[in-house]
Amino acid sequence: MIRAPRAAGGAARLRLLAALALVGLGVLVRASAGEPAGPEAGVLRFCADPDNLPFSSAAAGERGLYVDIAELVAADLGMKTEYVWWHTFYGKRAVRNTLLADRCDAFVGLPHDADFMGRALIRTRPFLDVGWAVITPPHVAFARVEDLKARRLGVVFRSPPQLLLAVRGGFQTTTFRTDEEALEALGRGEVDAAFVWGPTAGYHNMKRLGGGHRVVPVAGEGLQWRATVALRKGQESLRDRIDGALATLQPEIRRLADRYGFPQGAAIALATSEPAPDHAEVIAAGRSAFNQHCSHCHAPNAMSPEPSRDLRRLRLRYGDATQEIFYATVTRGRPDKGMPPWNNLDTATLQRMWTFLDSVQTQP
Amino acid sequence: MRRLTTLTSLSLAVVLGVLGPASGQTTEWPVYGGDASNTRYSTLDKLTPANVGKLKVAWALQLGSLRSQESTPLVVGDTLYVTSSHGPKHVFAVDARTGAVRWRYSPEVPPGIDQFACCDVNNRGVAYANGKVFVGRLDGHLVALDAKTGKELWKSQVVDFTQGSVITSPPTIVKNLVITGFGGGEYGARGFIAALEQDSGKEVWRFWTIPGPGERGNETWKGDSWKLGGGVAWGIGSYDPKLNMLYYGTSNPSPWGASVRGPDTSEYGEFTNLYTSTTLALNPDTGKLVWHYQSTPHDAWDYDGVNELVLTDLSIDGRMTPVALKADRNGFFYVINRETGKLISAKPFVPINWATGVDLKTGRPVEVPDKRPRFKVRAKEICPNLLGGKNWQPMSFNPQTGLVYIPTINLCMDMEGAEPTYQRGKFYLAFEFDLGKSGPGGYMSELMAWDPVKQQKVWGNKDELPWLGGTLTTKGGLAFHGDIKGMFKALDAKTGQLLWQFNTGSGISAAPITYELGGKQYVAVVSGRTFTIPLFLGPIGAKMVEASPEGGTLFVFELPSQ
Repeated sequence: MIRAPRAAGGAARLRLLAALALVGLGVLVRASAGEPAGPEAGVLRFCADPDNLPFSSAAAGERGLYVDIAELVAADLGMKTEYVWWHTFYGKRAVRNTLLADRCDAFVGLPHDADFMGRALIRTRPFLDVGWAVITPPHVAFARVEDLKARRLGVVFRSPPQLLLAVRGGFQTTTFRTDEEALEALGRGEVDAAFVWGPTAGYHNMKRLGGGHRVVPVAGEGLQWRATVALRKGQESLRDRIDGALATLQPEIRRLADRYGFPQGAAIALATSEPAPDHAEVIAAGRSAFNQHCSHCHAPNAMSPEPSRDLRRLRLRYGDATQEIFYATVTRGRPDKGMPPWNNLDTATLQRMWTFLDSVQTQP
Repeated sequence: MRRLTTLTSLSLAVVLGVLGPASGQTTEWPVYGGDASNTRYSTLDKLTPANVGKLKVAWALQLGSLRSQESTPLVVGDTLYVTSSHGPKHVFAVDARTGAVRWRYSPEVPPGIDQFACCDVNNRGVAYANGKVFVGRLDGHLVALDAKTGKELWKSQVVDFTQGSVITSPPTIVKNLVITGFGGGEYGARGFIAALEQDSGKEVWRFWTIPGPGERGNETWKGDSWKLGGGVAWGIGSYDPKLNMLYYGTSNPSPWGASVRGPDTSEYGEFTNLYTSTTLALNPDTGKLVWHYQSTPHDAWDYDGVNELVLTDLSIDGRMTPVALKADRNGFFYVINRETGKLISAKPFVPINWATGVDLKTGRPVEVPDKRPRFKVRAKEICPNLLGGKNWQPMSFNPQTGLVYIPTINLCMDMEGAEPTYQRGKFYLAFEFDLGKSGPGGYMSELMAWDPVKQQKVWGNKDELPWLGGTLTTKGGLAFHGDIKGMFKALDAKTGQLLWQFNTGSGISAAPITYELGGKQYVAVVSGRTFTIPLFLGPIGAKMVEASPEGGTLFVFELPSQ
């Protein structure tokens, strides 16, 4: 249930996009009443928002990506599912009242961020990147955010893109209250581009705009999130099983995300107010870190002559999931293949390493 | 009864076989190095420069694993014992005439063991004594198998592999003991050599290659750096039964970054980091140190001192002297009096520039200061690179020609110290390196015949790619070796002239053997290209990978019947 976080009020503040009627009340609906159920009984209880497409829905028809993933995971583990529906406008409260209160076993789509709800939660590997995106009609060509300076841009009140564009200056922005309003304005041609929550943009594009618009993720501080399945502390073995299932299901998850219109492809930078570090310097620092920690198996400068260990082939192998798989593999390791987890490396070092690796990818 | 007689004569031959160079004629190959002196010299002479061109494949055995085959087969009686890489994945006992499998031992190998094997999941073979076959395993265990059935008789844990210590070399047989070291110089393991009882697998003694507090040599370490000091004995031991001395070389210290272990300079004073990169002579009954010689004090280049010691007697200044020969990773060829430990001579056998020579009085190399990598100070174009002037691939010594046949390497490197972080079971290097630099002259390896008395090259066959296979030499006047392309070659031992070659299809690192059965002389070699070494070498490594695919086959050759 990663939802568009507000710029103000902390990174993990989660926002509801629709169905505000039951805000804060929390509606608990057991799919089946009666017998106590749980993982021991072969039942996996998932918490999900009843009205939050394209992520989840309790209504008949499309179930949403996170429910589909829950079904796939359970099937892979040979377990049955049960859903506890709970609105997530207040994200942390929803998690406290459901997952942490032992009303369910797993919550699909919480951020892969150790700071989110502290140590009470444990997480699987990230299975998907979600974040902000810019959506444009086909005639608006751009390669960088700068190329949109002459355009009319729709932004959402108190959203990170709104702040970042304002800090950079030189952009003509119109502010909307919600993603939906910005997208409606885009559909009417009142703006040339809209900076909105990526999955919402992709879903809207697919359902309402005939799929003809372009949706490009935007990168920068607080703009991209990594979705995981979260569980209660103490459920490590269940976590590991779900983790294993997610690894197997990764291609299927990618396909499903496409079906819901989740944006894919390389993100364009939406720079912060700080001067961007020199790209060449970041690459050099990343190369140095790589050579110290990785080169004895993956060759200095990542130039491994053995295809199976050649990290220049990551993008050929994993396509748009490359960055996600990089982080997951480095932080969790592949113990069965002899790769230990490098969880001692800080995020900044990992980012530099990724920047270096990204710069040496073999072109398809 | 006939069977019994055969067995008795066989075990007699075995006893003779392991006695070293003075033991005379043997038709077998009873120990890794041919004899306990590691000469890899065979007195068989049916094969000669005149007929070797007719060698044909007699049979082949698929080893069942790919990657980095390094095994030297043994032949005891009419059985050939050979291991595959990866654990070993298999130990085979086969009819040495036909390759028909008599038994196969296939231990469970922990998944992910690759993490703890710095330089691939290899195995160099088994040891044999008194009806038992001894196998060191990647999981840190030594096992004894019944040589007739392959049944596991005992299994002893020598070391916990999760600290980064795997066993890849066969143990050394001395009397009723079986003696082994293990790896871990890249993981901050503290080395020891352990002697186990052949009958029970019980540990009899243990020699810590890094002295603990209160022991002599501990003062050569800065602070408590000795605890993670490396100095592991992952290679092959040699044994001199007359002097009753056991010889082992030890690896580089951990981490590679020398500033952790002492001053970050060529003026390291007492901080030599004993006993790393050192030749050790031990009393095999007690495990007590008799003498030591450290070839690379306060090493900063990963110049392991593990290369095998070849024991022979040479005329030095007119006196027959018991010597130990070592072609060290650091590029010097050492001749040491193996009784006293006195250094007789040391000369570079490959292009080197990290030292200008060795001071025979102190035994210390005379370093070139700007070739010593330091913390955040890059030393460039250091020769040889850390694969060394010679790596583990064994050399051989032919008393007929008086020459040592060395698979040498001619590569250079850049190195620079970095922040050390120790995490159990992970590489502990504190270094950045670029190893893929070809040495002076443009060639990358040379099969070299070296005169250990004059300390000079007699002939050499240069190769455009690195990583030649180990060597074998015979009384028939031949030298054999393989290369990274998979060519297996017979050379004239006097001149180096190529007399015959056979394409095995995958790179050869392992050393060949020869044996005689039913009046026939056979030559055998394991083929299967190194997997991990190219990973260190960038574009040069890419050429090595292109040179041949991975493989795993034992080839046995013979002369066709008349």
